[in-house]
Amino acid sequence: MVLESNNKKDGNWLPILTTFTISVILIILCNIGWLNWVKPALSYVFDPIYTVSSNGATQVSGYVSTLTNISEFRNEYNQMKIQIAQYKVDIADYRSIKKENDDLKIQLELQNKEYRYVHSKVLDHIEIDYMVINTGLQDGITNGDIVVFGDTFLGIVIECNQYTSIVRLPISKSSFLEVYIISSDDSDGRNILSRAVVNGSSDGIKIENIGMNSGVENGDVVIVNDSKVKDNLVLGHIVGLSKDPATTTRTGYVSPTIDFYDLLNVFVRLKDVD
Amino acid sequence: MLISILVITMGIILCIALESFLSTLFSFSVIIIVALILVEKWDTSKWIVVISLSSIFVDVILHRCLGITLLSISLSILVLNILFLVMPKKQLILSYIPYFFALLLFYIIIQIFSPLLLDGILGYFSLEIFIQSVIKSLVSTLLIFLINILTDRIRTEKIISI
Repeated sequence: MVLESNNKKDGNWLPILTTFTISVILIILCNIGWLNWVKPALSYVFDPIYTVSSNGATQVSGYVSTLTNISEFRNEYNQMKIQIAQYKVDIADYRSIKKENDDLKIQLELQNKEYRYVHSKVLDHIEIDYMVINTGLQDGITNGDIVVFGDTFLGIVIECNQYTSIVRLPISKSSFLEVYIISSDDSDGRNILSRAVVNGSSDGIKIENIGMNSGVENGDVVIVNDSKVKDNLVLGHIVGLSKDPATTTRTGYVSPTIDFYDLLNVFVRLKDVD
Repeated sequence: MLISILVITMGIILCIALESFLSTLFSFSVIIIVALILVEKWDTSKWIVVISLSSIFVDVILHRCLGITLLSISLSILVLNILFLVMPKKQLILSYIPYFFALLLFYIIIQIFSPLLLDGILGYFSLEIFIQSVIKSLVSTLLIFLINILTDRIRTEKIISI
């Protein structure tokens, strides 16, 4: 048996001859076109196996490729993170500049040319009553200067440091301002309907001493006209006007034209131009 | 007999699945390894039928000209037999050198002649492709070596158990 096996192994030329002959015949028949029907029939059976295996191999190849290039991906990821952070900073910077540009345009269009204004940025708010700005004594700001945005009154500088200042907002309880009220309706000719006083409260900017028969209504415009301000500046609109017939005056609240807590840029009107 | 046919059929399907998988993944061929291992272990007629059918199936799924894989296998075994005439079979390292050259020839024939029979143009062959073929042949030789060791051990255990 062993001898037979050895003989078989030593002189096994039959498979070579047979397979060579079969392969040559197959190649010839295939090139002639006689076996054109074989491929579709067999592929119908074996293509699903090929597709499944091939898809599996593609997935494995993808995983292997990811694993082998993982350090490259990590470097790329870190670089992209830095790049994204840089873009974010650029965008924030761009927005800040754009906002400043818009505010300056508004201010240039609306400001009173008799005064000199100092552009300031809002740094912080102290509770709801005060605002900290980034200009101070070195910019020529002194106590009592008026802070505006366009023709809107924002507050009065109450304390100046070298580089920063604190602005008292109308909502502060320490804030008392004389104002007058004009109609919001253009057909009324914008006459002064009543004089009043505004002061801050925990509920908002309170307006008092409005004449009972002055014709003031909710939505009318409140203009600051105070000796401290020395100019007519818009404060806001009347809301929540009282309707008590037993009193001689009416009270209400002022809704500011500008939200004090959304501001980025403000302008300080210097008291003394020189 | 029936069980044998069933096992062979399942083996062919598995071989085709592996061929597809490894062909896509590494351009690696399983059928040549199977052919080289079984040529000395199986009955000639059975080997011819199984390898001829498997190679035709592989040609179909890999879109080759019918018969090119079988031609490559037959030429590889021819080289193997010729080299075994000058090299000893029983020595560990030397006996696998013919396998390496037979496998290398298989990959080179497939690379060059498969496009020739399909489109009439010789396949692109470069140093890079040659190195890839060498690596694939080395891995295939190693696999044949491992499989031979495994099958010899199984056979030895059987003898001992008898």
